[in-house]
Amino acid sequence: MNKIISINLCSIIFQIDEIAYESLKKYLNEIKLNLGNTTSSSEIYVDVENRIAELFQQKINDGAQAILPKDIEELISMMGQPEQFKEFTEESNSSNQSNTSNNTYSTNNQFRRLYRNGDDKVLGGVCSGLAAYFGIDPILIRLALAALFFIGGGGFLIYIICWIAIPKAETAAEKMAMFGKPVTFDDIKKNVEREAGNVKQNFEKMGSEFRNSSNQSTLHHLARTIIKIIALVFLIFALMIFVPLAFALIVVLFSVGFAAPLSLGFLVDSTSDANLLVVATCFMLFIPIFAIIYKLVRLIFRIKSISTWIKSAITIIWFASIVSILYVVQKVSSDFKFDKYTTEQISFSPIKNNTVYINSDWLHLENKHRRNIHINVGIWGSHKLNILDTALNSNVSLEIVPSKDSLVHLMIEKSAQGNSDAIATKRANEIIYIATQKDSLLMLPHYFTKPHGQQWRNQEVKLTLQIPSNKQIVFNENLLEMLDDDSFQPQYEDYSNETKMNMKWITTTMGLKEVK
Amino acid sequence: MNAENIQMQMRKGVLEFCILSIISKNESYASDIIGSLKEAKMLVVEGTLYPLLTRLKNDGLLKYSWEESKTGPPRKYYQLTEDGEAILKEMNKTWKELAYAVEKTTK
Repeated sequence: MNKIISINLCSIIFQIDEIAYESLKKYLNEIKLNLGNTTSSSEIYVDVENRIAELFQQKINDGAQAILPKDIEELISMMGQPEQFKEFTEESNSSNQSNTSNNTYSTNNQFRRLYRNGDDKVLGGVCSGLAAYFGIDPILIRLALAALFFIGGGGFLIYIICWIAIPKAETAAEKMAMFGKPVTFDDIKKNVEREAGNVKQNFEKMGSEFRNSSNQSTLHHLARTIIKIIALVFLIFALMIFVPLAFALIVVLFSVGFAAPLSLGFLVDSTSDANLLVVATCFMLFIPIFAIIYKLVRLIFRIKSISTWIKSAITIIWFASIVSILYVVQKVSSDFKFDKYTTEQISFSPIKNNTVYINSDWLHLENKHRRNIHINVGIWGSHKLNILDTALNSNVSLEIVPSKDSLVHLMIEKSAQGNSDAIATKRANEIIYIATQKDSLLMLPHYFTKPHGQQWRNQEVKLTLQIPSNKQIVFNENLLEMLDDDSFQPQYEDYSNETKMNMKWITTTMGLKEVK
Repeated sequence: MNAENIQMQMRKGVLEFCILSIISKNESYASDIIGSLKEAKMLVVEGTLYPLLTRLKNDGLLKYSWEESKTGPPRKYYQLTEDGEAILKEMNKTWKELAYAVEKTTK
C-alpha cells in the first residue's frame, strides 16, 4: 500500500504513486545535475519535463489511474540515464564518460537521509536512525549518548533536540532512504553543486545579469562549503557551551527554584504572576537557542523541515511569552506611580538622667520575634519563609533636632507607593514601627514591618527625633548608621562613626554638636 | 583515444547530419525525430536528443514554433533556418565524399 501524491508537471496535474514520485524526483534532479549550469540547460530541462508530461498524459489517456513505479522505469529506459543526456554534446569528454553511462538507475541507489527509525527504537528511534545514517551498530550510538548523559548531562538534551528535529521514517520510500547509499565525498560535492545551481538560478530570476563562468560556480561551491564548515564549528561550540548551561539551569530551576518565585513574590502582585514571569522568561530564552541549534543541525544534515504549524506555534509561544513579561512588568511598575505618606508623633516620658542613650538594632534572625511562615508559591508548592518577608531592614532614616519643650518627641513619617493615592496611603498606614524607651535608653530599631505578603513598594520610614538641648546624647554604632549626615554640624562631617560613637552630643539649631 | 571514443565522435557527427536531414523533409516535433531515428536504429534514448536540438538551435541551424497538442503540453516544432539549409547541403556533399572514401578504402 502506498500513498498517491499530486504533482504539477508543466501545468498538468498528475496523480503519482509515492515511490514513483521519489524516483522521478531523483531522476529529474540527476538530469539537472548532469546538464550543468549553462544558459541552455534550463531550456533543455524544460523540454525534458514537457516530454515526460506528454508521456504521462498518454498513460492517463490509455486509462491509467496514476503513475506507477513501473511507468517511471519505462520512462527512464526510454529517455535514458541522466549521464547519457550530454553524450553527444559534451565538448571535451574523456573516456570515463561512457563508463558511467552503463550504471543502472533505480530507487535503491538514492542517497541516504537522516530519519528516526521507528522499527528499532528504545525511545524515539533517534539512535538507530543516526546509526543507519553513519552505517554503524545502534548500540554504539546508544552507549555514547548514555556516557554523555552521565558525564555532562548533555546526552539528554541532544536526544530531545534530535527527537524534535529529525523526522520519523514513515513511508516505504523514507525507510529505504534511511539505509540508502552512503553519502560519499563525491555525493557531497554533487549536492553542493546542485545547491550552487539553485542559488544561481535564483540570482538569474532576480534579473541580475550573471553571466555563467566556471569561476563563479566554483566560488559558489567554495562559499557553500565554507558556510557548512562554519555552521558545524558553531554547532559544536553551541552544544559544548549551551548543553551544560541549560542542564545546570534546569537543575537549578527544579531543585532550588524556589528562590526565584520568592524574590519575585516580593515584587509581583500574585504567585500566578510570579509563575507566569518565570515560565515566560524560560520560553523567551530557550526558544531562540533551540531554533539556532535546529537550524545548524538542518544545515549540516539536510534533514526535512518540521511542519509549519509547529513552527508557527513555537513562534506564537515566543511572542506570547514576551507579551506576558511586558504585562507583568507594566503591572508592577504602575504600582509605583503614586507616593503617599502619613505621620504620627509620640512623646517619650520625661528623662530624669542628664544623658540620653539612643540605640538602634538591625533585625536579627535569632530575634525572639522570629517565626516561620508558610507561603504558597504556586507550582513550587508551599515553602517555609522567615520574618524577612514581613520586615524590611534598613529603609529607616533618622534626623535629630532640638526639642521645643523639655520632652523627647519622635515624629514618624511612613511612606509607600501604589497605583492610586488610596492604595499608597493604605500601604503607608500599614507600616508598623515600634520605638521603645527604658528610662534614659531609647531604642529605635533600624527596621519596620509591613503586613505579611505585601509586596515591596518602596516602603520607607523617616524619623525625626526632638531632644531638649540641655541633654547630652550618646549613640551606639547601629544608630549612627541610620542617622543623616546633616543632623551634625558641618565640622563633624569627616568624623567616622567609631569616633562619633565615643563622643557626647547636644542638639543645636545648627545640628548636633560635640560636648567637650 | 580509445575505440569507444572514436565511435562516439563518428556517431556524433552522423547523428547531427541525420537530425538535420529529418527536419529538412518535414517540420518536426522531437518525438517524430526520435521515431525516425529509431526506425533507422540510430538513437537509443530520447534524453540525448534534447541537448542536441538545443545546441543546433543555439548555433543558428534550427528554429522552432510552438504548436498546441491534444495529448499534453504544447510542442516545439523544429524547422531549418537558411543557415541550416546551407550547412545541410555542405554536409550532404561531405558525406558523399566520405562514403566514397570509406567505400574505396575498406574494400
